[in-house]
Amino acid sequence: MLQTLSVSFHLTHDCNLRCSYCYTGAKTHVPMSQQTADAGLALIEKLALEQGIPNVEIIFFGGEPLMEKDLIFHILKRCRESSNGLHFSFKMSTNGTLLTEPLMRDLLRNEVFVSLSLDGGPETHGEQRPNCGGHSSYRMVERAIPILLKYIPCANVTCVTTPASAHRLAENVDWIFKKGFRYITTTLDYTANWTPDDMRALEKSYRQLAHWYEEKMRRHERFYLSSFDERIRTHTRPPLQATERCVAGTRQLAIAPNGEIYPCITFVTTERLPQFLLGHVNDGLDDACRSYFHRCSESEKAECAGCSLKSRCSSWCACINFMSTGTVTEASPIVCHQEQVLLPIVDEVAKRLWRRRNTLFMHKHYNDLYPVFEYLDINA
Amino acid sequence: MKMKNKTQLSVRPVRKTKKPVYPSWQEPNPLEQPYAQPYPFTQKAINWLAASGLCGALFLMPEAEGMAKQVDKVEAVEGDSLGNPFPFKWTGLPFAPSSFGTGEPSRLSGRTAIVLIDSIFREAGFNFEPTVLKTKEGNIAISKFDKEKKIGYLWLEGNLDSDLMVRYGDDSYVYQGSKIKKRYPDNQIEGYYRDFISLNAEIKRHSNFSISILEQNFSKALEGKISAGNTSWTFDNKCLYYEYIIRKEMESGYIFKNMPSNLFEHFSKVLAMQPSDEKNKQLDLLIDIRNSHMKNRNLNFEPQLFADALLKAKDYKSPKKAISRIDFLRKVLMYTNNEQKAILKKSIAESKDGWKKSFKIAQQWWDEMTLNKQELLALEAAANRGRYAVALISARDYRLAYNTFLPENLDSFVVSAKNRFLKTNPMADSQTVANYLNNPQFKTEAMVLKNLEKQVLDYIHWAKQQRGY
Repeated sequence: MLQTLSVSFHLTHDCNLRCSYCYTGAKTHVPMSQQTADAGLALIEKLALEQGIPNVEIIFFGGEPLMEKDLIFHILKRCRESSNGLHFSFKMSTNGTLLTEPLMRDLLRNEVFVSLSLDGGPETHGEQRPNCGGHSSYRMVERAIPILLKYIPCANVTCVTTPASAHRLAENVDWIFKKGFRYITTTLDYTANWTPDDMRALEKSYRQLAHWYEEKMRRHERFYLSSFDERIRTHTRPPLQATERCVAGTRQLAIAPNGEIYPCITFVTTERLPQFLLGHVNDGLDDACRSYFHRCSESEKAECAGCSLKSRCSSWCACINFMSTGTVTEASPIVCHQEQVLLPIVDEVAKRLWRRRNTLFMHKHYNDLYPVFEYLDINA
Repeated sequence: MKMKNKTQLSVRPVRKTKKPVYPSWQEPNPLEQPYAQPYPFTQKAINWLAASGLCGALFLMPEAEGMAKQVDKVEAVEGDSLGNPFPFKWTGLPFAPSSFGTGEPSRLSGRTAIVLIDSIFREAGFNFEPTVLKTKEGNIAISKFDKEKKIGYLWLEGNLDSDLMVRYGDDSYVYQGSKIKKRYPDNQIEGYYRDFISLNAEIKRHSNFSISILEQNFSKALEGKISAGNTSWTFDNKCLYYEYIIRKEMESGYIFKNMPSNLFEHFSKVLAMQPSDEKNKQLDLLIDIRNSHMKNRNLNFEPQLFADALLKAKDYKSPKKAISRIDFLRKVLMYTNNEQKAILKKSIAESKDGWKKSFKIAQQWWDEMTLNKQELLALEAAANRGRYAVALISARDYRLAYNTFLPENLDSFVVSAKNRFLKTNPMADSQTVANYLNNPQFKTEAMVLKNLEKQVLDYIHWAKQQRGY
């Protein structure tokens, strides 16, 4: 198994946008201190060495991480100086509004893989991601797109769909694709009040997206669309062990600006969540809490008993369940409805591509080395 | 603690679902065992039909397209001595590579394949020499052709017209000028100009993008506003931009290692004597070459040839014609290999009739060398009729592709590959990647070579039959 310890550093709670679906609470300017970051890194290194994990993935998160860019470079410098044999890799999730070309160059020089939060075209983005003054942040983000793609052609985009934008999902994905992005992760606003009508609108969008996906595959355009590719993989790849599919709290941690450690990014909000607290950078991790959290999140969901889609559904994701139900032990009804709608659509597209023996489909889903080739090709 | 719990939906288990109709992880991997899961009929049905003597009926049914494809594949892969093993349909053309991600197996390099094919033909008693075949679709230059036996082959890679090969970057880039329609705010455009004037702007990777912004958004009012106090320069958008880039290029001097240091200086002198419109076009070409060269590092740019052309063009009576010819020369220089370039240079050197004649020769040579679909089909038809036989062996033929081995521990393999490329060379060039893929551990390449050998021998056998030997 890929042995990686993934740690998110929430550098600040502050953000220059006010996204309609943001769950992290008030945007207070309370950045992580350098001491906290250093203590966090020391703790991670110790943990990785003790557990024999050779790779450490640092994710810069927020708020908006670029509001604390000095701290980013401090952490990068600190990791480079580290001489304990661990391999560090870096990712950052940004809204793109503060991304400039010199900064992008510096980030790439430090091997930071930047991914962008982009909800779609001007209309959707304007509605869902306003700035502090309530105006659309679209112009600011649009400026960053060519800069990002110039330096990272394989940059990932995370596109959030809310009930209000459900009917525009296909349109938004197409817009993002046309902008030049080829790695598109779509997700839903799991904190929203989804109604059956919204789900019907979403289903219609997924059907449109299915045509789009099939057309692109038939034209051999290489891309990754999480909502389709991941669901096909639930059929073409063996299911992960219960202990491996969600590693929140075990090999995935999130450090809040004040140094508190949580299992995953979802739990880092301005409001403290002591029931999910796993420790503090200064005091270390509470292993009992970690294993308890893991047990709770991995427990069988009573409401899913007897469901034939259980092996293909993502009801195991503690973060989604928490955002949707407020607890990690209950399955998300939004996920349940989404999977019931989406899986048949995805399977239908996959069936058609398989019948045509579409080369890209075959290799994408049956060639274990596809990600390696893709990676090498991207870096060529 | 409850975070949010407002949704009207509830969890409802599904008792029964439709089984997906594509191979699952529990079934044989279709890449390793392509015939394990036939379509549209199950193996059981096929066995039953075969036992009933009705198998032939399957192939008459239009619904059996998928299966017929598989049968074709079996015949071709195993080598069918009754048919041409290298028909057009197996060339994998036309194809359009995408911007990143292979998603496809590795392919034999042209160099390896050609060495092997040549040796097989040589051992079979063939004596190749370059020739030009005349077809109704046009003249086709074939470097590997036995004039006596009228049998030869064409290696299809890099010698294809645009209808057969779409080059990455030619028409797919999102930010091409023609696709940008929105007007930018005046203050942004003003910023661009001021940056150019003060030489603070970044060199844009795709110059068309910037130029398009400048061209499409430049208003008379803005021109007046900016030019106030700046009378020393004119508003020639492209010229301003290019001159900036050229100055930068001259300063850095890193683009072409083998470029004469004074090329840009010469070029500037030529420019000074020409009207700005012609100047822009020539600069366009120069930048185009620079950009193409950056994308194709394995090709050797021959700057002297191009520089000579540019310098001679200034004396040419009709600048427009000169420009179009230079543009053509750019294509030749960028998309041909060294061997082909040598032939071209020789032809031009032998021509004593001046500049115009040289270009004419080059143009004719280029037309003969590049192949379009109609020409390939004409060659195939001629081979079937037994007039002459030219095997169409394509680098895109999937029979010449191979999957690399699966390491025992895939995860560690991914990590080490990733680490290596991230750590050492995040912008690794294609040669580095090629070296990596050609690493001796990728043994499966040998199997493909063996298959190619068999196909070529089959082809020789078939071609001889066609020619009546």
